[in-house]
Amino acid sequence: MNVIEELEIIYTEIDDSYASKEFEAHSKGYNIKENEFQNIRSINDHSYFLIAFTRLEDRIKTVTQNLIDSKLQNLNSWSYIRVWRIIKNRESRDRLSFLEYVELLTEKGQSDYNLIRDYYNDRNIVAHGNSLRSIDMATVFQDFKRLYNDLSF
Amino acid sequence: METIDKQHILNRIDVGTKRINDLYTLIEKWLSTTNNYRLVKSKSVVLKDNLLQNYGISKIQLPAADIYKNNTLLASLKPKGLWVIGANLRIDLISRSKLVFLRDESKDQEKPKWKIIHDKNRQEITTLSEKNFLKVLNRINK
Repeated sequence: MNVIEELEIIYTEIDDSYASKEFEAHSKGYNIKENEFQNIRSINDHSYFLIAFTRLEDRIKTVTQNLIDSKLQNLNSWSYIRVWRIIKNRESRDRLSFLEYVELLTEKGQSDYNLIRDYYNDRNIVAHGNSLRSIDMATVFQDFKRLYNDLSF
Repeated sequence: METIDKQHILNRIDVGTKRINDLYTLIEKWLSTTNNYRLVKSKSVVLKDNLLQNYGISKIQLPAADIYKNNTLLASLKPKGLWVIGANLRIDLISRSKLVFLRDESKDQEKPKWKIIHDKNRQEITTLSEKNFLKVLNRINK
């Protein structure tokens, strides 16, 4: 089981539990409590979205680092090696942006690249506290689990 | 990325509210064919935040509904919001023991494509239909 799957299990238990409490409060007409539980679920969504994104981000960086090392070890022609040396140099000095890591693994403009880019933009909005954004974590976990397993070189 | 301004928010409220109300009308029709279930509109879900106030909108009210079985409250339909990451719209069907999602997977301008995301690990997804929705209610009632 990978870390995204572990996060999904914990998240789902918490969300189920608070949804049940939200319903109990609603059925008794306890409006303030109902709103509190609704708010807790929203904060939980935002928290787990940010945690899950950082884990996906780590995975993307690790796979990209492996790609760079593999290219440097296996390529023989200087005409190719020189490009990867420059990339390695930038990467080791934290000079690659997150989307450049993504671009080394997926084709820019294609569906996986666009999906990660869109989630990255959402992550930036959520991280800055835009509470208008609700999150369907079922979709997020489904996408993140697939990307976590599929991204390779 | 969407640009959010007051007109965008007002349009989104109109479109989203209509989609939610249309869905409730459809479910109400399905339940009317049963002898024991009925849908009753309930207190709206209220969204407030500072960003809305910056555009002169104090709050957004989204329609919610309750489902009764033989006069006992069985479940509630509560919209998740109007700007949902991972979906166009989502409505939670909450009850004492189960949490099921109704998710509109359409793009903004398309006709709604409602799906049911079932409670079993949230991996089972079916198209929202009369038969599938009544199955969900029967499972909640067990």
